[in-house]
Amino acid sequence: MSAVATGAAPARPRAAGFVVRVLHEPAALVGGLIVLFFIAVALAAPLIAPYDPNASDWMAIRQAPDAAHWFGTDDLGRDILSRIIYGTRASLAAGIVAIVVAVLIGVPLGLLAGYAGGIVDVLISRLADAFLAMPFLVLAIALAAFLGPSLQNAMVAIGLSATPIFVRLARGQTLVVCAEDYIAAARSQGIGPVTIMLGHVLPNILPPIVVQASLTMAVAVLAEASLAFLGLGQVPPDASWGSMLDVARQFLGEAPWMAIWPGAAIIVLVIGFNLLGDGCNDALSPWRGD
Amino acid sequence: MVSLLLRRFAVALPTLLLVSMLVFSLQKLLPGDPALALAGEERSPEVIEYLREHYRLNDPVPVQYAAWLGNLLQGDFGTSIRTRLPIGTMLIEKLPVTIELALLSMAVALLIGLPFGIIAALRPGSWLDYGASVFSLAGLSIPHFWLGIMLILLFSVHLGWLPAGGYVPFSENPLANLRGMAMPALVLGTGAAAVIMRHTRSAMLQALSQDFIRTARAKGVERRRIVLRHALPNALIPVVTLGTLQFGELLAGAVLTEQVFSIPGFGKMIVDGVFSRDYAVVQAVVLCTAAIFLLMSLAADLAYGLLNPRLRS
Amino acid sequence: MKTARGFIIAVSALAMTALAAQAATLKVGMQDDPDALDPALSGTYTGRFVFASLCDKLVDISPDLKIVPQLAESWEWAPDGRSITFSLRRGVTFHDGTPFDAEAVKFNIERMKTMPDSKRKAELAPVASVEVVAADKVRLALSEPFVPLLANLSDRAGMMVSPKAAKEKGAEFAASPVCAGPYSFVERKSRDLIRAKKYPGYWNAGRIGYDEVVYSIVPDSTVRLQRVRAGDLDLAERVAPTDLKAVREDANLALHAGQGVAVSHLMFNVGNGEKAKGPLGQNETLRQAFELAIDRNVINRVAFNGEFLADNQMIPPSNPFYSKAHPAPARNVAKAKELIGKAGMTRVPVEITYENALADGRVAQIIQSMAAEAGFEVKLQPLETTSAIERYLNGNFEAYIGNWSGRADPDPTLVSFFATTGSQNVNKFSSKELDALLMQARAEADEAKRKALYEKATGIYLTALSSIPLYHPNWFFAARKSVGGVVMYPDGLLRLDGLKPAN
Repeated sequence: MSAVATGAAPARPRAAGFVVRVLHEPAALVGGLIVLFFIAVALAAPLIAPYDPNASDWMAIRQAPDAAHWFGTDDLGRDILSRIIYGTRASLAAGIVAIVVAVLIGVPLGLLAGYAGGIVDVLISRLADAFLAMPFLVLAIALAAFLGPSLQNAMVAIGLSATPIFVRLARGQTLVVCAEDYIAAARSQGIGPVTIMLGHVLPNILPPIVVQASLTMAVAVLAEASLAFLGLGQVPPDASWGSMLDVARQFLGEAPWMAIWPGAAIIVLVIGFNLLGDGCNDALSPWRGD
Repeated sequence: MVSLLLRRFAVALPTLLLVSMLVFSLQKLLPGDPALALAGEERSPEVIEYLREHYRLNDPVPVQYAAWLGNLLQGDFGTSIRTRLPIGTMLIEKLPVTIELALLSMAVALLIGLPFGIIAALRPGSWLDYGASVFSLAGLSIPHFWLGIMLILLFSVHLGWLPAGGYVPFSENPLANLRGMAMPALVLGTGAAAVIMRHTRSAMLQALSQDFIRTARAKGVERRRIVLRHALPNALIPVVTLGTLQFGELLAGAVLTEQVFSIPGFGKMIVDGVFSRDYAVVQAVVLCTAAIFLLMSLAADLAYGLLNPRLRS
Repeated sequence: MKTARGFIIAVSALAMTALAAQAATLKVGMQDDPDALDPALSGTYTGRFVFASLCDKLVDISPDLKIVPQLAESWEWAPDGRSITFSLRRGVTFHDGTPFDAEAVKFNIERMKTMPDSKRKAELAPVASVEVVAADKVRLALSEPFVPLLANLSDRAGMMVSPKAAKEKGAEFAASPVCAGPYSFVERKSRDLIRAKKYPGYWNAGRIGYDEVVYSIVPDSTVRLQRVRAGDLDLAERVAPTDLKAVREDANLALHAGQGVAVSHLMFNVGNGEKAKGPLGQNETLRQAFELAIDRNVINRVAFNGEFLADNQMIPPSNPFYSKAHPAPARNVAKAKELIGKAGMTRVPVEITYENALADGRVAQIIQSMAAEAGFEVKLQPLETTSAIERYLNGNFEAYIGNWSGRADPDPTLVSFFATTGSQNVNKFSSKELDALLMQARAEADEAKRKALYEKATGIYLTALSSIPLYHPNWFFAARKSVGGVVMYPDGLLRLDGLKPAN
């Protein structure tokens, strides 16, 4: 648990070695393949979707799965399979954009806090603590409500809510790296702080951040679904898995397929991100010296 | 140890203050205000303006915050602008509901997580270990609300065994209470079970690989005894710490679960509060949750310190 | 041994009292938590729903929308229509024992007119003064003839609270209201339940069949119904149209359905700021084309399983003032395209704002899809409720799906939405001709003449179409068969008098 503090890890292997190790982790490989599969589905959506995801057929409302509609139709007579295929875009984008926001804001702040120390560290750390003490979803709900319901805003809200995790991680890692000889050496050579932070510290703290990003991606996909479930996500008629579930809840008794398939899609994608993150985490062990 | 606790406490208080400031400013960013939210159909401009004056919504945000903090220090959480009920009473009503849910979920999590984590560690690489890791992966990946919906579909809609939602106080009807809590606790407990299982397994593996276990084994001590007397107590240290932290997470995780099962606890209070701009309610609930959260991490530190002899010395 | 037997006896006695108590408790499931439980402040349907057991009104409505006596036994309009005198029921007391009399009426009307945050001011605006004629006679003097006053007094404006309690409790009154209804307030747990017990001193106590009523808040329609089926609840209000099949098929349940006075309509911003400058806001012909592009019956069938009432007027057909001369036009895409062409356009963009509730979202998507066939490019803008209300009040929308709970009398609905100074006229529609007609109608005591005036008014607003009425929701309650005497009213409120366990 306190892996960061134990072991001196005399020579930290380079980041390139990390990628090679990840490829040798079966979990990471499977997870990576799942994620790649969904990326492919998202990109090829117009080619593989059997119907227009937003085209309503008023005469085919809430139809059970059959040969024409493999996953059935929804409350407005739209093909659920097509909507899930297009919904992949929303979920993946939510995960990716949220992480980009969280990393782009969180990592520099964490770096700064860890490197600068003193009052800067105290300010940034306390703020991150305060954010972390609030329930993640509540924060995301409030931010999403503030920004207004839309997929983009939900992504930003989730990203902002996830930011403090990266602040904390980046700060901790920076502290470890800064204690090492080569940083002291660089300092003594008169290299400026910005160059040290970006050139020496950042590359060395990246692997754990990548791992965290992959795991947080799973959380972000779930969060997007949760926000959409509360009506704060994708704007209709476009589909997102969460908003499909929100609607499906009304028809549990008579049209359970409306709830089953989008839920299954979420689970598989999240499993993919979790496996990828776990695999990366295992591949990372030598970086942590345990 | 004591100084560590005091230090943590000294950090926790300003964090709470910061949380309250954050929540306060965050809410002021939301479009619309409670006067609008409760305007109802009538929506008369004079009434809205009066409410804004009366609840000091027109004051600068720092002034509002200071007034709120002043009342809080006197133990007054204020009144809900929507229902005109005192928030202190609401907290006292809702806290036990959410805590019961969290406790029951914790029980579910421990009942699943501990034994399977231990068994998985005892037979690493076996199909049991494999099954346990698949379960924990699934537990972490299933959206709570979806699992809730599926359980309702199965146990309420199709089988009719359990109520689809709602809450009966334990004091009123224990059986009805537990029946109502069964599905929500299962939903919330599954995620926590996954986390606990993972950590039990790895802590157990680590404990089993330690020198004194190997020594004991070499001395021919019975395997059962090794596991129960030597490895398990050691492995439990991080698990207890984690469990305490997980409890705080459960309180937060209750937000959506309570929504799905219509349970009138903290989670519902907060979501409804955000949507109806009932600032004082959101403020009070987030603060309480954060306080419990911080208390739990304090307790986790304490548990870790007490259980871990190395740290005690 | 002895103690054990004693224990068993005590337990079984307890169980029996529990059973007996259960038999006389009516457990009702409601969709949301009411706001403040003070008739002067209340602004929610569920608030009114609870008041039906707590607070009697001066007058009530009958199922066919006639005004009938409640706390007032009779009333008489002055010949010039500028005052009305009520003869009050004698021997009525509030739940705290305070007698109900003319002074109490005066206190209540004045309280609602003067309380700074009272929501009843508009409804009582024409009341200039209240005069106590005798202990059981009170006269309301009006600043102008105002026929809809009685309809207003059949709702929260006519609810009487105990003057003594109101004075003593002040701002805390809403936490434990004291009225003169069949049940007195016991407790309220926010977002959970409201409990009330039978008031023995009720003037009509003989018609009250349950000893206690508990309103449980169960937001999800499916869950609400499930709990009635399981017997946890006796009755659920507002069962979703999609769940009605399940109710009809369940041998233990009875479905109670009734026509309502509510309306859902698509408002266009025709005169409020920048958002009114769009083609639909500026051009009546395009709005008529929009109406022709949509099929109200499809909306009803797809969104509500055909259980609501597709209609083109703000007033439902069950209302005596409904205009039969203006039937809903059938969908005609070709005609819609022709009208768009006449306006010199082919593609007409419009953005519809709505609260992100599920029903509105569904209706919006159906409209979007149908209107597209005629050439309307509809963009959807769902907002969570409070954000939506803010935009609504500020007229910050091009089109908005409005949900109006309706009133027994046509006046409040039509004046609010179509009179130039109407409180809901946020889209700033203005027609001098319509204003004059509406003012004339509210002063017209003769029903036939009044009906003719509304006939004309309907023609005007249906041509201007600053708002396109879409449908009227019906009320659906699911109750266990063991609940006897349920009668549906157009206001969708559950009257407790006459309700009793069926066997």
